[in-house]
Parts: sequence; C-alpha cells; structure tokens
Amino acid sequence: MPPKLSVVAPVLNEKENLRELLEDIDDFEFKDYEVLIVDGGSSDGTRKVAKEFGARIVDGPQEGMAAARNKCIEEARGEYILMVDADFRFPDGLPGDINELLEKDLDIIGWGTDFSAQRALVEKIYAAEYQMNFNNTILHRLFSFLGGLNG
Amino acid sequence: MARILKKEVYQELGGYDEDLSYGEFQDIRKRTDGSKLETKHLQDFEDSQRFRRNFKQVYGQGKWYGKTFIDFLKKYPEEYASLFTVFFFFSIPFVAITSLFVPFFRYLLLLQGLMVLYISLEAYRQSGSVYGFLVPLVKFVRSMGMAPEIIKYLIRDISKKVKERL
Repeated sequence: MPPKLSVVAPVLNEKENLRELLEDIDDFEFKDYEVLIVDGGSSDGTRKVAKEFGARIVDGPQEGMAAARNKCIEEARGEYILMVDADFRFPDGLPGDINELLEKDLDIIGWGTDFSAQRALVEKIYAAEYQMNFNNTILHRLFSFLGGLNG
Repeated sequence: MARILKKEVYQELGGYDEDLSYGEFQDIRKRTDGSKLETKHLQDFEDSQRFRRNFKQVYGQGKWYGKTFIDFLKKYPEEYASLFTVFFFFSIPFVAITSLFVPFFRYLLLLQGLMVLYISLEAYRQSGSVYGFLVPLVKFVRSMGMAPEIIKYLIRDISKKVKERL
C-alpha cells in the first residue's frame, strides 16, 4: 500500500545537512510516509547517510534543481508530497493533526518558518534578509518605477 | 519554507519549470497562489531552515541563480526591479574605483553609500535582528556572483539573435 506522504529531497553532496534532516524526519510521530532521496551524483557519503536512515534513493538528473525536483515528483509514491531541501529542519516534527489534515482532501498545506536556528554569522544575516520584504524598500520601488517608465 | 502538495497538483501544474535555476520554488508558489486550489495555511506550526553558512556559498548561489535569472524575468517581467538591484550592488566597486579619477562619481558613491545604509536600517527594522544591519553584505556577495553570469547570458542571447538575423 502506498504511503500517504512522500518526503522528497533532491541532494548533491549534502552529507551533513541530510543527516540532520533525516534525524528530524525519523522523529516524526506520523509514520505513514516514505523518504525519497534523489541524488545528483554525490561523492561525499550522502548516499550512505540516506541508506542508514532507510530512505529510498534514486539517481537524479544532472540538469539542475528543477529537473531533480521533477524526478522527485515522478518517483514519489505518496498521495501527498513534502518537497524539502537538505537544509530544511523539522525540530517539532510535523503538525500534530497532520493525519486529519491529509484526510481532508486539501490540495496544499503550508506553514511558516522559524529563523532562530541559524548558527553561523552568514546564516544569521541570511535569515535576516529572508525575513525582510525587500519589495517594500525605497530602492526596489525606485527601480520598479524606473523600469515602469521605460516599459 | 516547506509545503505539502498533492502529487496530482504538481502533475497538473506540469511540475517545476526546468528552464529556471533561479526562483523555481517561487514559480510554483506564483502558479498556486490565488488559484482555486484548496489551501490551508497553518498558523501554529513552523519548520526551520539552515541557510548558506559562508560567503563562498552565497557567492556560489549567486552564480547559480545568475545562469537563468533572465529566463525568470522573461517569465515574470514584473520582477525586473531585482535586476536593477543586482547591478546596483555589483556596480559599487566600479563606482568606487572610478571615483578616484572622476570627481563626479564621488557623488554617485555617496548616494550608493546612503542607499546601502538605508537598506541596513530597513533590514534591521523589518527582521528585528541586529544581523539585519549586514544584509547589504550578503546582497553584495550574491550580486557579485550573479551579475557576471547575467552578462554572459545576455551576450549569448544577443549573439544568437545576431547570428539568426545574418
């Protein structure tokens, strides 16, 4: 019987990140899922880590992330797909009522991101940038206006 | 941020746009936002994400984004202001060097400096994080990776069009 949910991740040399991600997934209380790793040709032991956690591994295309993500979709056996990158984290697992949500025939289930897990300085700056709506800055509006004049 | 989508929704959308290495996540979001798809946004749950950990990775990300950035703009022309932003940051060292020889460029450099300061303050205000002050640094490093790839793309694109005409 196919799983309800496929957790899918396209990866390329993501040994460290993937281990942390798979540890979080392993702790999910919801168990009706499979983990699918689409590997673009890692040489750093990424596959070994995926195997260690019992993930299904598929050879990925070399044509970039979008192609790899499409391979994830093609290979996923679940009715629902949770598309992640190796740097995603689920410290609190999945939502407590995920089982009920998946039974509701919803098309999309979304949520926000907590940015406090960053450790390196550049990550912290990156997180601040992520939380910023640059489109609301004067610079962006000025450029939009100038482009609009030309258009 | 991650989302759960029905597999058949991805299939109906035709999956991710393989012409994009920049904004493929954004592209899917744009194609699903405002659609009639039954969507539930959870208010009481959050995932977490690690980001680029050093400037080398940010630069590499910029190079990668730059390869198809113009394809993204062709698909979403309303995003063209991002192109100006990339070249705004990319131009800073050139304006700085030129200002050593051409006095007028000192005014431009001053203007750019004020704009960078403003972005720092705005990033701090919006994110509530002191690291927001350094956001222009990340934007600068990423732009240094992106801009040369965008220029290469444009040169290739123009050469192709010229060859076709000849």
